[in-house]
Amino acid sequence: MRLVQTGDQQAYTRLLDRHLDRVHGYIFRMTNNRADAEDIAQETFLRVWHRARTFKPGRVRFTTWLHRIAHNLCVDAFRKRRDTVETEIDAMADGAPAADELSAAEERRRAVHAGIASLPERQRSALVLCQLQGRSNREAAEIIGVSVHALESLIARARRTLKTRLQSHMNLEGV
Amino acid sequence: MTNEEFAERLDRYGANPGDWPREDRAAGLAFAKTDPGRRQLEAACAFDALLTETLVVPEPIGLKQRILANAHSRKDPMDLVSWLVGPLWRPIALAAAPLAVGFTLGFTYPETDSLEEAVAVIAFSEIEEVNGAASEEDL
Repeated sequence: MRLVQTGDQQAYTRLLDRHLDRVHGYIFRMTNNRADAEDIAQETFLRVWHRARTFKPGRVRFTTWLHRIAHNLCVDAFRKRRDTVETEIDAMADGAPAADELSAAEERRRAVHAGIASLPERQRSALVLCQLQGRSNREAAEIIGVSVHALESLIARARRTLKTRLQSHMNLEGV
Repeated sequence: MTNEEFAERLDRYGANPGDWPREDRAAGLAFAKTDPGRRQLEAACAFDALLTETLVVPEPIGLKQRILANAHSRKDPMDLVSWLVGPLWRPIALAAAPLAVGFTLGFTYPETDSLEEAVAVIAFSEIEEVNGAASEEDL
């Protein structure tokens, strides 16, 4: 990152090789939309390049800083598109094929995506960062900007909500 | 450990004991060996696996090349911020600039006896010049 801060383009390419997939994965799981995920991932890494000098190595880990940029851009996108997203979800529900036309796996995939998409953004972010991206609770808390205890509560609420919503779609007895 | 406490643990930290808090991990593992604990743990494992296996991320084809192309061609609108957080002389220079302009104006304009007169000199001097020029043209 120090080389990127000096404008080293090769170092920036290496940084992309190392972090792009993971950050794109986080954004895709947050947005559940391929085009949005690519746009936000692109904006995230352009900000890293243009604002590399604002990164203070001793103060925060690079991956935390990077994910915080991505997280903030996701939140901005959600706020801008809140009405649109609700409309899209309604439209998807109206135009979706009947359940018996879908394979069980596809039906389950859709149910999980819809369940995650319906979570409040901080719960979704906490769940995705810790459960799916493998971030530690402490790092995820720094990214979202909450205490570790608050983050754990967000995860617990997200899991409970999802389990309730997915109960009818799959066999999770006793969960 | 009770059923509820174990369920809360699984909701907070997931099914992997390695992610549970160290201080009472042993108590959690002991409860997981009981029948209700085992059932809860198995269900939590199934839930974790469901999330991990279902939420597959598509490969972002060509994204890296697009980012590199844009990074080298696009100017950042917030570049001023990056400029400002560089060496210390930059924010100082930016803060000093209005002061310098103020001093220059203060020393350039003629001295006046009262504040009102000074304000009038600064505020209307150009208009008077313009009016004067217009009047001459009218004549």
